[in-house]
Formats: sequence, C-alpha cells, structure tokens
Amino acid sequence: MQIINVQTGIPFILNDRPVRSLSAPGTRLLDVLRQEFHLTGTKCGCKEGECGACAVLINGRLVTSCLVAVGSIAHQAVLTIEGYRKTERFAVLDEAFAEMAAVQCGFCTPGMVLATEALLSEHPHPSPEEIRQGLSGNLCRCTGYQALVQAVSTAAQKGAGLW
Amino acid sequence: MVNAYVPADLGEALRLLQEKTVIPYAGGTDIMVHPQAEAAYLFLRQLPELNQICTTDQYFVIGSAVTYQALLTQTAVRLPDILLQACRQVAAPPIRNLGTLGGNICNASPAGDTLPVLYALDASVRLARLEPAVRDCQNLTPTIGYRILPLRQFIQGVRRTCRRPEELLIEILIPQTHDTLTYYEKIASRKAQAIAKLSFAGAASVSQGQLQRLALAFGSVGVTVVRDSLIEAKIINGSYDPEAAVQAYAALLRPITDQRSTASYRKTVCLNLARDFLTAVQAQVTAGRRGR
Ligand SMILES: Cc1cc2nc3c(=O)[nH]c(=O)nc-3n(C[C@H](O)[C@H](O)[C@H](O)COP(=O)(O)OP(=O)(O)OC[C@H]3O[C@@H](n4cnc5c(N)ncnc54)[C@H](O)[C@@H]3O)c2cc1C
Ligand code: FES
Ligand code: FES
Repeated sequence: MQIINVQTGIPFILNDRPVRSLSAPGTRLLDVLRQEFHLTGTKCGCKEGECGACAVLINGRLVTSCLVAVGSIAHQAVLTIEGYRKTERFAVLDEAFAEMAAVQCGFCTPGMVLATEALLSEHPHPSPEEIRQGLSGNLCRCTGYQALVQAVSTAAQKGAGLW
Repeated sequence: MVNAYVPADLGEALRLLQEKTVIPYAGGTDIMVHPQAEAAYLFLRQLPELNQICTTDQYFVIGSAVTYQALLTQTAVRLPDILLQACRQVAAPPIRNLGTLGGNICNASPAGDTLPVLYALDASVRLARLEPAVRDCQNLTPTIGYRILPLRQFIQGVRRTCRRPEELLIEILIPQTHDTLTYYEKIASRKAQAIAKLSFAGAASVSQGQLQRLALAFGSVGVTVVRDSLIEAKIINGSYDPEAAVQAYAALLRPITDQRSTASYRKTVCLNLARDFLTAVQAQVTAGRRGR
C-alpha cells in the first residue's frame, strides 16, 4: 500500500524527466502542470472534460488532464505539448496545421495536436470519419473543423512511416 | 493533511475501506467534475483484480475498473455487440481512456449509457468486503466476502445504489444468452461528447419461431432505467402484439422536461424505438415459423 500526500509528494515522469509534485493528491493534473511546473501549453477551457484543451498523453493515451487527480498517476509518464514539440512527428504536424490553416486563435491547438498524435499512433492512415472521431473530444471555436481534418490527412500523408 | 491511497491488491483496498472514510476512485471522470479538496481518494485503477475480462460457463465477467477503451480494444473475449455499441458512444476518446464500467454503474445516473444495455442483458454486480476475522481461529487474516446482486436491484435511484460504505464493486456479470436480435439507440444533441436525451436497448432471443427471451430497457426517462417484466411477459406469451405493447409502454413511461430535452420528445422517440424493435422481433418470429 502506498500512501501519498503533500509530504511524500507524487513522483511521475513529465516529458521524459522524473519529477515530484507537491500538490495535494486530489489536485487536477491540469493545475499541477500549469501552476506547479509552469507548463502553460496545456490549456484550461472548461474543467469539465468537455473541451479537450487540457488534453495530454499519459502512457501514450489521450486524456483530459482536468479530470485526472495527480495522485492517480504516480510513476506514470505524462507527455505535454512542451515535450512533444521536440519530436520529429511534431514537426510534421506543425507544418500540416499551418499549411491547412488549422490554427486560428490557437487555444485548442495543443490539445488537437496531441489528439492527432494519439489518433495517428492507432490509425496511421485514418479515414476522414476516423479523424473526426479521433478529434471528437476536442472543441474548436474558430476553424469549423474541416481545416483540422485536412491538416490531419495531410500530416498522415507527409509523415507516412513516422507513425 | 489529506492522504490518498494506492493499494497493491484488493485485500488492501477493502481493509482501507473498512478502517477509513475514503472515496473509491476509478477513472475519476465523474468525481473530478466536482472534486472535493479534502477528499481522501482510494485509487482503484491499478488493482489487478478489477482489471480482468474473462468468461465462465455462464457469464461474461468484466472487472469494474476496465476502461471503455480497454473493453473496446481487447480481443480475449467476444463481448455482446450491444455492449460495445454503447461503449463506443460514451463521450469521446479522452474520456473513454479514463472512464470505467464500474464508475458508470456506481455513479447511477439515469443517463448512464451502459445501464440500459446492462439491464437488457440481465447483468449482475459482484461486491466485495472484508469479513471480520474470526477470533478463535489460528489464521487471523480476514477473508473477503462477496455478494452478487442483479443490477436492477443494486441501482436504487438517481445517484443511489445499495453499496455499503465498506464494499467495492469488483465485477460485472453478464449472462451468456444467445440473443438473435439486439437493438441500441442513443439520442443526443451530437454524436460525440453528449449526454443522452434518451436511450433504448432491446434484446430478444427467437428460436424456431418461438420468442424465448425479451428485454426492453429505456434510459433517461425515469429515475433509473425502466424495464417492465409484466409487459415483456405479455409480449412473450402473445397477449400483446407490438402496437398493444407500445400502448402499454405509453402508459408506463413518465419522462420529465429538463435542459437536455422535453418530456414529450423523450416519450415519442422511446415509443417509436420500441415499436421499431418489436416489429423486427415479430418479423423474426414469423420468419422462424415459416421455416419450421
Ligand atoms: C465530458 C464528459 C462526458 C461524459 N459523457 C458520458 C456519456 O456519454 N455517457 C455516459 O454514460 N457517461 C458519460 N460521462 C460520465 C462518466 O464518464 C461515466 O459515468 C464513467 O463511466 C464514470 O467512470 P469513472 O471510472 O470515471 O468513475 P469515477 O469518477 O471514478 O467514479 C464514479 C462514482 O463511482 C464510484 N466508484 C467507481 N468505481 C467504483 C467501484 N469499483 N466500487 C465502488 N464505487 C466505485 C466513485 O466513488 C464515484 O462515486 C461523461 C463525463 C464527462 C466528464
Ligand atoms: S479543460 Fe479539460 S476538457 Fe476542458
Ligand atoms: S483555433 Fe481557436 S479554438 Fe481552435
């Protein structure tokens, strides 16, 4: 049995580095990332799991970090947009999103990019329907989604072999 | 200082539930919408005992902490299609990676998407708690006691179950019936990430023109899922044709109007879905009789 609290801290892997959060175990991972680790690429849109702006990957799986109590992720690996942007895959997504004008205000973008990473890991050549499903937990108030679907298709083509 | 607990096995988890006031935390997708700063969480997701999917002679057995995504991607057990259909329509990928079947049941929302399906499949739940150690026994390790309850009995009202504070829901048991027709429909304002305005699950088993088993379950139109054995029995014994059955359900269903939908929309669509399902069942019965 492991007991965790603000004194023991919560060890986990953040963007490939071992870290220890000193927040209360029930704190939202979203708040831990933004306030304790100053990683503000993860956005807060609703704190209800509805918008996907706070999405991160935990052990490679897409989750809304606002619905994750930091105490539940001891020893697990969290990847945020700050960690992901150092990868070759990110470079492909970056270019495809820019080319297809899939970014306007940019608030949804970190979540959309990580949702795309999760989608392409599972379906390297997704159909438009699979893309819409893969992004269905992420809201965008600017682009109307079509540009995002095109960006993901483009990335899947240009980055073929990377996923 | 608030503690949280990460037990290594079921025994440790149950001991904690008996000794302390803790909140079982599976995927957290219901809990974290309104987190309580002072809550002592008991994390369940890592428990091996709650993460299995298997079959016995009679049942499909699904661990309570299995996520929707794990359920949908596992290939070990051929689960009923209608259950997978419902899981596919829960929320969106990030929530399906966290949320669990056990959480959906214990949260006991009238709009829980898996509930009408589990009611229609006659599912039960297995609960576990630590039995107090027997004094005069050499071996003082307390044993784990279990009870099995039909889901219809376990869920008692809006967000109310008969789980005792020291109990954990550990497994969902689904009888291995041979349904020849299943039917699932969730009606919501958009395809993903939307709570149901209403939902309907139907299951029937027809053999050689005989209707052997029938279940109709309606979600989001009452405090719990609505299923009526009397109406089902009358359909099975031939006293009700589909239209008479729909009239009986019309008298039974009393949905409310809220922010998601109106009472009359809910009722109309539920009855249409029931009619559609029962017509398909009747067609199967007729076809079976001709083939005899
Ligand atoms: C954005 C969003 C969209 C959603 N969409 C849907 C939807 O489309 N359909 C739907 O049905 N639901 C939906 N939900 C609700 C939720 O995701 C589901 O009910 C989910 O199945 C809950 O599972 P969990 O493991 O996350 O539960 P938790 O939040 O971990 O727990 C829920 C409750 O059950 C208790 N509990 C959990 N496991 C056990 C156990 N093993 N023993 C005893 N008690 C236990 C907890 O103490 C708590 O009271 C949505 C939620 C969000 C935030
Ligand atoms: S902030 Fe987490 S989903 Fe909106
Ligand atoms: S670009 Fe503004 S919300 Fe998506």
